[in-house]
Amino acid sequence: MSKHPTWIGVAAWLIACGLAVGVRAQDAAQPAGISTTQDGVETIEVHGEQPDAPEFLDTPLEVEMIPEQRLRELPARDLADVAANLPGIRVQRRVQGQGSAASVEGLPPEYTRALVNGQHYAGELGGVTDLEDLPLANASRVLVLRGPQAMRYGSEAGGAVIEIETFRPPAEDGLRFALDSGLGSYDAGYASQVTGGRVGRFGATLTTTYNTIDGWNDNGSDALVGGPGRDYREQWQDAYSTFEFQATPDFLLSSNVGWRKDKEESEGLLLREDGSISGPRTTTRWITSLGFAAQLGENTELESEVYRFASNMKSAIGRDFQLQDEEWRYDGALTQRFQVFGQEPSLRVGLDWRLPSLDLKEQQVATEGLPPPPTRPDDPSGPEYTTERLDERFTVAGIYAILEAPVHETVTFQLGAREQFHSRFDSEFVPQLALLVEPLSWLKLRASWGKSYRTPSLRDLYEPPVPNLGGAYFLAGNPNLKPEHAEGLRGGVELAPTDELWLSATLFTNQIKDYIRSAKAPEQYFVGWGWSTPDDSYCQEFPDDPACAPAAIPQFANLFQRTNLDEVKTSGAEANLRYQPHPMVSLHVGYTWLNTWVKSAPLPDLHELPNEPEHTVDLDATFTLPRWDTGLLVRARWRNGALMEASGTGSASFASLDRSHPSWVVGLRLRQPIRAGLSLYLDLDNVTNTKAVDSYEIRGFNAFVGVRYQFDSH
Amino acid sequence: MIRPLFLALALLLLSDVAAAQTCIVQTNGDCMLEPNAAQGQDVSPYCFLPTLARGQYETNYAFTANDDGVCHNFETYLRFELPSDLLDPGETVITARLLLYYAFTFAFEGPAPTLPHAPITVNVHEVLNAWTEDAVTWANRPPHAAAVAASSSNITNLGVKEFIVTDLVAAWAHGSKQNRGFVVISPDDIPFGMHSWEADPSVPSFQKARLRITVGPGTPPEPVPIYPY
Repeated sequence: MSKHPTWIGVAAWLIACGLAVGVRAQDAAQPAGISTTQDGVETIEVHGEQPDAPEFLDTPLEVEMIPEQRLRELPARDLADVAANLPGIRVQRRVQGQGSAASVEGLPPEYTRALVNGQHYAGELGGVTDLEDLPLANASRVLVLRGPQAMRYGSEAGGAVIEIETFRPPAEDGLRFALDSGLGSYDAGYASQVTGGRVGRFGATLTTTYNTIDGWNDNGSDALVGGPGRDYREQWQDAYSTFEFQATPDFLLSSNVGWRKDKEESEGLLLREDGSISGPRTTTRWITSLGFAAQLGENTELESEVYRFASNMKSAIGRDFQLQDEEWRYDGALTQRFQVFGQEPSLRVGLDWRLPSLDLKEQQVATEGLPPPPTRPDDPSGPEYTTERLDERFTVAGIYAILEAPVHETVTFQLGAREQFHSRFDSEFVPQLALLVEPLSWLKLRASWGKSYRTPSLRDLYEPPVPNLGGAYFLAGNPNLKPEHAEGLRGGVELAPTDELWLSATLFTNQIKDYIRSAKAPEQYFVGWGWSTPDDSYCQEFPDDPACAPAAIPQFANLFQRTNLDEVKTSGAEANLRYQPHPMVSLHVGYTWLNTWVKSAPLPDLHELPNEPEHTVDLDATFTLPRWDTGLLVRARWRNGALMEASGTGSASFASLDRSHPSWVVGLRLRQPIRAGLSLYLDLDNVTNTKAVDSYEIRGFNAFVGVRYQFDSH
Repeated sequence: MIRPLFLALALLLLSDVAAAQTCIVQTNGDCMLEPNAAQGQDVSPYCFLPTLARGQYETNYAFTANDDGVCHNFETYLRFELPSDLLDPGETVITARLLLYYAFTFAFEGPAPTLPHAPITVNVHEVLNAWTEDAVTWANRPPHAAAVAASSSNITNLGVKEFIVTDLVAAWAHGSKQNRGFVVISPDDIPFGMHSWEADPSVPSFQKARLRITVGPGTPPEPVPIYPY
């Protein structure tokens, strides 16, 4: 399959087009996903004549909403595929296992929170979330909130929030489901099913997803971080369900349960201290939540939820260890609307409480300092290891209030304040302010300012040395870290002069103090013993030279440790132009200008962040053919050169002073309805076969062909 | 302007005097030079960070790793200050051995090489311009002679490696050439790692670069032109 995906895809496409002839357009253009929409015909009209485009919601804070229809048009199976072409957002591979860490407006990926239904879904608690771990099969829409979002999402949401909202059970009794599966290059396989049903007051959804794909070999580019290798393979299985029980018209009980298993295997990358091959790395994750929403009066709502996240990573890369991340969380909020001078301000008062914990079992050298050396070159005994356990936890709590007040028909402001408490660090006051002005029906002006406060995660503090790049260096936590403080300011304009044209432009600036990043530690990390062999000619002549005695020599790798070192500033602009010259054609141009500044004591020549190009252009175009109702979406991203870095951490300490080449990445999705509910699609990714983006080699041209079917009992 | 330059030159001269070292006389009468951090000059500039000054780093490397078009090369510059009383009248350098201790290695990408590894070659060249360890970076590193002064191939494991540099040291000892030091270069991509003279004192001196000189009766070598020719 991997050798001839394109031909198989084209053949499948021709067959699909043949089947599609004669099918009425309205039958063919079924909604692409399950939604609560009741009437299929109405959905067809929306799809065919008025493509659902991303838009900003009518809120003081800038919230970009990507509707379900648009998500189905994109060549996307996870959140990383959606974010790949959003202005201001860069996704990058990281060697710590993330396939797509999201950096928004130049801020570190730790400042981006990726959520599903408002909940942490996958990845390190308080750390970087891999957008590839958030499947899109059950998404009803995606929200992108740029800028500080500390009020609702916690003080550490200093850069952005990207959230998937999954579809809810149908409003009336019945059953709906959707299937999506396909095969592609690099032995890619994907299958998902989404089922939703309702019986009386009880509704539920269940989504299961399977995904697998191989890595790719170095492609000979001059990128500093090469491919993971063709023998690398990652696969994951994901199950997510939601439950609703409408106990009374004013009381809704809800619950979510999720399970996920990630597995990475590679013969080339996994290495033990003694040089033997080992692996794999598996991560199993559970999430559960139980909550309710109650209408306490005409203008009063109460929401409450208890949530638990548990992740268990077992790894034999470099050494054996088992890492358990766990978090209990409580969120509660009371929303009260008022009537004041003909306006309806609302006040939301909330409380959140978290108890994250880290439980680590790992093998460590049993002795203090260096282990005893082997006694002779062929001594098979290595260092003696013992299993050590690390159990750390802290408590984080916050109280907040958000007042959203329309003070005039054209002016709405939002004022928020949070007090953040931490069992280990000082409490912090975090304010936020946002303003929306709509002087004309086609004109909106927005401004927002906010602070955030990111405390080090448990892994930042306590993670033991973890091998990177096959053991070339190790990364470790640092218990002496201080929290980071960040501040963001943004202002923008949104124009819709005609029904066909929409424009937006936003200026932003962000600043981080005490930015936590990796810096070389004063000591090195012991990785094993080497054995010297005396120089034949010299030692035969001078056998008494102490250098001629065979000796065990300790071998070390560089150790990097998380450290508060840098001050980082980012500023720039984002602009969008969306134009629909014809109901069947939609065009979009996005542009990001980004300027970063970094102060890094060990690297005085470094003045900007790596992997952050100054100019990025995003283009996409959607076409629908009237006869066969074939949909085609083409999208592209161009970015100019950026400073490169060698580690895959995105960290300034690994930056070089070399610059990458500009890059184009182009992809498309061709979608062909076959009959009611059934459609075929072909994704072509990286059609220009671009070898590298910034410091990273990327997967070359690849194809994926899939089929999607959905059923609705209504 | 003249005055500060004079003072700087005087300080440089004084520092050289302070750094001068004496022989550690071996059982066979050879002179072994084992400089400490103050006595010797060594630095290993890194192509990837061309303005990084590594003069006080504890590690030196020699390897060439730029297969993918990105330069990760290291070279190591060494200068021993020869004792002023190395040669008595009528004596010359019979043999001079540069002893480099291959102490560690690693891999840039993928697993570290298993020892013993594939054979690598290490070459020693004459450095042609003056330099100091705290000022040398990859971008401003001094030029070196194209000719290889000494070479060792078939290095597959850690331990002491010998490079015969008699002609060069003899020329320095007799003053027919200025002592600008050695540069150690490897054309292979397996890092040849050495402890620098700034390395922790717990690292034995024999695991750092040394120069072993055998002197005896003889005539000075023919004078050679001083670079630039």
